[in-house]
This record gives sequence, C-alpha cells and structure tokens, in this order.
Amino acid sequence: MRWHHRRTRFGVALVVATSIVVAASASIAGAANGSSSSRASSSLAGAHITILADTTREPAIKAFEKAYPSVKVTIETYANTGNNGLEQKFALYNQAGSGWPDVFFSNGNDLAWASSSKINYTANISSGVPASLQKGFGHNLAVCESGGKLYCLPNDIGQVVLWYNATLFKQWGYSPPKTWQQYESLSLKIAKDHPGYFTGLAGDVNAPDRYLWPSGCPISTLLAKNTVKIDLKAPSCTRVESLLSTLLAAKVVSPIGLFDTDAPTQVGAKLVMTPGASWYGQFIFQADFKDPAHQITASLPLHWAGEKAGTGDEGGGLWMVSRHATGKDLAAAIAAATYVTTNHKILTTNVTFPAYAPAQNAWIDGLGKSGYFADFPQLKHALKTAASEIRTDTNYTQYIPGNIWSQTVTAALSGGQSFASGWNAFGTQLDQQALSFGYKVKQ
Amino acid sequence: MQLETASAARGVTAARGQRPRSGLRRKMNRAREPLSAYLLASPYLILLAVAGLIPAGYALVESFEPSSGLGELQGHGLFANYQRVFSDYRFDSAFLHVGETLLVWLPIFIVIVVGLALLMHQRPGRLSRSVQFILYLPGALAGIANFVLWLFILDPTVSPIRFLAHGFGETTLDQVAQPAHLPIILAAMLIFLGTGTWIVIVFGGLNNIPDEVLEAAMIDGASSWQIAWKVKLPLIRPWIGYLTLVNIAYGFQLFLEPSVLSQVTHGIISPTWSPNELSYTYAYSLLDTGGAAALSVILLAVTMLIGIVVILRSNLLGEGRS
Repeated sequence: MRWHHRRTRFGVALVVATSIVVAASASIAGAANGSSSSRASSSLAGAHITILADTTREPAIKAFEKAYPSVKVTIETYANTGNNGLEQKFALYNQAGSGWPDVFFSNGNDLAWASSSKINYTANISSGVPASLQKGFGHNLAVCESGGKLYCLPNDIGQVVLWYNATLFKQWGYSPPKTWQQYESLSLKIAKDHPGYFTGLAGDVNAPDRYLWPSGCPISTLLAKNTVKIDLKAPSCTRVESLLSTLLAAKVVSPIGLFDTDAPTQVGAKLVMTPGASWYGQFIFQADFKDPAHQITASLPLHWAGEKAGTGDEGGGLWMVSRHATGKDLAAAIAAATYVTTNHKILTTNVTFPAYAPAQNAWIDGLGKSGYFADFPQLKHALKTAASEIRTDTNYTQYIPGNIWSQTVTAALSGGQSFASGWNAFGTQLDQQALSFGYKVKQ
Repeated sequence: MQLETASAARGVTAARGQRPRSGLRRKMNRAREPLSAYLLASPYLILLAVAGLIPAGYALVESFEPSSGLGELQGHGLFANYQRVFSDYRFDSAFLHVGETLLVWLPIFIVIVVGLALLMHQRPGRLSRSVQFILYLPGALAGIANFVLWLFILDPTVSPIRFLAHGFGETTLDQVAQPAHLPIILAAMLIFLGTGTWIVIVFGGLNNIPDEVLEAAMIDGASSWQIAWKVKLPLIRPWIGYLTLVNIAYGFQLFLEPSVLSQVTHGIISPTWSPNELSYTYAYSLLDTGGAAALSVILLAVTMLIGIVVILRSNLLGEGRS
C-alpha cells in the first residue's frame, strides 16, 4: 500500500514535470516563429496600410496578412511592372498631396524615378530593418542603397548564368565554355559544324543585361545621385561590340528578341547555349521553347579571361516604403516589406529566385523537384554562385538602356542595317536620354 | 456654256432664298433666332469651354511657368520651356514623322473619298448604296477594335495578306513595322478607317447641289466627267475643306496608333514618334509640365494655322450658297 502511494505520487509528479517541460519548450519553439510575430503584430494594432503591387505578389501579401492579423491591409494591384501608368499615378498623388500607397512593389527602373527628387516617394528604412536581415541580402542590397541609406528591399534576382543543352553538347563532344572568349569560339564552331543552331539572342530589352552588364560596360553607372558614366568606347564595351558583331554576322546569335512572338518558331529548341537569367529554365526553355525534359542545364556564368567573376542581372522586383507614412503605419509598412522578402515559406514558393541568401538553397531544391533539368547539381551550384556575383557597377537610372537598345540596335537589325550603325545609335541615344532626364554625363 | 450653267445656279439659289415677311414677324423671327440658336449650341459651347478652351488656356499659362529640377536644361526667361522643347533631339523628327504621314495619307485619302463619292452620286442605285454601306462599316466599329484588326493584318505570321509582306521579303512583324514604313502603314490604316464615314459626308454635300444646275449642265452638253470636274467639284469645295481640316488635325495629333505599335514591336518604334507622344513623355516621364505645355501650345498653333489656311482656301465658312 505504501509503495503504491509513493509510486502514484512519483508518477503524478513525473507527468506534471513532463508537461511543464513540454509546455515550456513549446512556447520557446513558438517564440521562434508564431508568437514573436504575433507579439509584433499586436504592437502594430490599429495600423492600416495600402500595398500597391502586381497580381503575382498577392499570395505573399496575403501571407503577411495572416501572420500580422492586427494590421489592416488594403491591396491595390496593377497588371505588370514597367508600365508608364505607374509614374503617372505617383505624379498625380504628389499633386493631390495624398493617396500614396504605404508599400510599393516594382522593379529597379521604377525605383529610379520613385527615389528621384521629382517624385521623392521612397523612405529610408535602414533603421527599421534588423541589421541581421539586411546582411542576409549580401551584395544584392546594393540596388536599394544610395548615400548610406536604404530605400527598398530586393524581392528576387535574375542572375545571369550560362544555359546550355547538355544532351546536344554531349552528342557533339563539347563542354560548356567558362570565359566569354571561349563562348565566342565555341559559337563560331557551332555555326560551322551545326548551322541552323543558335547560341544567343540579341534583339530584346534584356540584351544589355546579359551581354553588357557582365562585362562592366558603363552605360548607366551612377557616379553620384544625378551623374552617370556612359562610355561605349571603353574596352569593356568594345569587346562586347566585337563579340556580338562577329556572332551576328555568323548568324549564330539571332537578331530577334527573346520575347518576340516568333522566337519559339524561329529559334526555340535550336537555342543550344545562351547566357541568361535564373528564370530562363522554367519560363523560356520549358514553357516557351518547350525543350524536352532532361536536356537543359546551366553552368557558372561566363567571365572575361583573366578577370574575376562578375555577372549581370535580368530584372528583379523590389519593395519600397512610402516616405509619407508615419507612426504605426510606417512601422507596419516596414514590417510588411521585411516579412515578404525574408520569410522562407514565401520565398521558396515564389516563382523567381530569392535575393535573400538564407532562402536560396531551399528555392533551388524546389526547382529540382520538377525533374525537368539535366545535371541538377551543376545547375544548383551555378545558380547559387552567380547569386552573389552580380556586378554593382551597373545601376538603375530613369532612362532605360534596354528600351534604348530596342529602338536602336533591334530596329537596325530588323531593318536590315548593320549592327555597327545600331550600336552607334545606341550610344548617341544613351547620352541624349540621360541628358533629357537631367543627369550629368561623364565619360 | 459654263456661264449659263453658273448663272442658272445663282438664279436657282436666289429663287430658293427667303421670301420677305411682314415687319412684325420679321422682328420676332430675328429676336427668336439668336436665342434658339444659343440654346441649341449651348451644350456644345459648355463642353468646348470645359474640355477645350479652359485646358488650352491653362496650357498656355503653364508653358510660361518655369519648370523645376531640370539641372542644366532649366533655361531662363519667359520662353525657357519653348527653347528647351525646340532643342530637344526628338522635336524635329517627331514633326517630320507626322508630316510624312500626312503627305502620304491625305492626298490619297481625299482623292479616294471624293472620287468614290462622285462615282456613287453619278450612278445612284442599289449598288451604290450597298457599296457605301460596306465602306462605312470599318468606321462604325470602335477605333481600338479596328486597330487590333490591323495588328493581325500587319503581322506576317497571321496576316491574310501576308503574300504582300513576303513579296517584300519580310517575315516578321518587326520587319514590317519598321520606323521607315510607318507613314505608309498609318496611311493604310487611316484610309481603311475613315473612307466610309467621309464618303457619307461628302455625299451630303453632293446632294445639296440643286438638280436644276445638273440638268442645265447636261442640257449644255457636258459629259459626266466634265460635270463632275467642273460643276460638282467646285460646289463641294467647302466639304472637301472640312474633310482636309479635320483629318489634318487628327494627323498632327496622332497618338494611339504609333503608341500601340511601339508596344507591340517591343520598342522598335520609338515611344516618342509623334509630337503628341513626345508631349506625353514630357508630362509623365520627364515630369516637365512646362515643357509638355509648351509642346501642346506649339501643336495647337501649327494646327490652327493650317486650319485657317484650309478654311480660307475652301471657303468653308462662306455664305449658305453651295
């Protein structure tokens, strides 16, 4: 009887102790994700913010709403980034003196006018975003930084790697080039031995991003807030001019654009190699050109022989916070921008490559689940390495080199004129447009 | 023969003129006329003021206000905005573009419209009426629907008339919609769109010609060609003037067609191809409202000048005699 009592008391004590330990550890674990944001959420109670973004970001915003239930969020959407109507909207908000969204999602070109002195929309959020999170973005934060201040948080990046058709390369006995010089000689070889195949496209608005940016060619280098460096005669530019001129003449780089309606028929699966952004795999090769599975992979981005690694960036979104927001609304807006750009669950389900380094491996693994790519470990290594190699000496300005490229180079190529005449017009227009926006142009 | 016909024309219109009325009725008519005329015109006058005169006045004032934040381009003096706009590297080419388009489009358009109207007037009947109806259809469709139709016609990969493009060695939309081809493309589009509508209007002018004049001419022994050329054509000069005036105004203010073509060709056509597009860029991309206003005023002045010349030459605002 006595033994039974002691046993029972001991048993009860054990159960109670265990449940206390379990409860304590649960709350500690909960503090790591759930209750810390709910605590933060409650400190923002009463905040009401408006978020202006494109329709693709709605899931991320809704996830923020769920994590911060005491913040009231109004979502306004527009069809796609890079349309003129957005700057119009903000000019009108400035005139009216009200109506600005608290959070604004768009791309680097829109950041240029949003942070300009004319529109003057973006807030400096460097003190509102924890330093540890800022560090997680690495070099990719540079696009948002200016004069020691932080004007946005990057959402995703389109780091340029070298895509190629592993099946055909194996068949032909080629290995992927490592330098731009090797890219040129291999392209000429393919032109000779396998005519009809392509190793690049030169006619779309992203062409400067994948050909000029990795070379460090100065077409939009910000020396100061309103001073740019444009110098097409620099060696870093002339070597790209020579490369493209040679490959276009050999008809192994196509003069049409990546997004042209006839790109799938004219180029399509005959594109055996090209520098291109991290999103080419799913959106271009798989969806657009319909290459069969297990053929496409990517290797490390090309670099110029003897120089250190550096690549370009074909687009990427970023989140800006309004300078006109105050108090709880401002805090909630910063919390929203921080949440959607650093939350692992959102980032790994995003369609494009996250700018936030800690989430990148998980995103790449998600890409691998589709089973579409060949040699996935190599692809993973290429994407991860290139993510931290984007050169920071090409910046976003109010004039858009990609559009100027279309008007000059693409127009010349499709009109039967020489690439050289298009290139010269490109240089002239860059200067003129930069001046018309009020930039000082230095060589 | 000509003099007889002309005097017959004057006599007929004189005969059709107002019969003298009694004194009181005349006074009442004169008093009632201005009031009813104003009442009828007032909705238009109000809209003209709100959507035309007041914005034009505002633009004029704004064009003399100094713009800010333009750095070296700021300029000084009352006409700073005008100087800046004049020296813009896109100014000359923008006006050149619409000028070329008008030169290609207008003569062909006027000849087609007036020629077809005269032909149909010559042979009234079911064929003429059904042709008129068919020609009118494109104009009756909403403008943007027509334009989308033209995007299909221009793209050699889907166009029903792609043999034309292939004949020139063009296989992609980018090759067809080259900046150098744009005047011809726009001329074709605008002729397709406007022919039917304007034939109806010119036809109205032709119907206004009294039958006695035409009979007199036929009795004098004039052939159909001579009647068309020497009788009908001079009498519809005001209608041709109206046709020219409205279409010159539209041509100078071209915006929609080059703008959409620019987007569809991913920027091969410059987004500042026409002066109106350049003004739009000034307002919403460069955020230079002074420059945009100056450019608008320049456009207005050019169009008004040409308009005045056309009105005077075609006797558009002449007396009621046709």
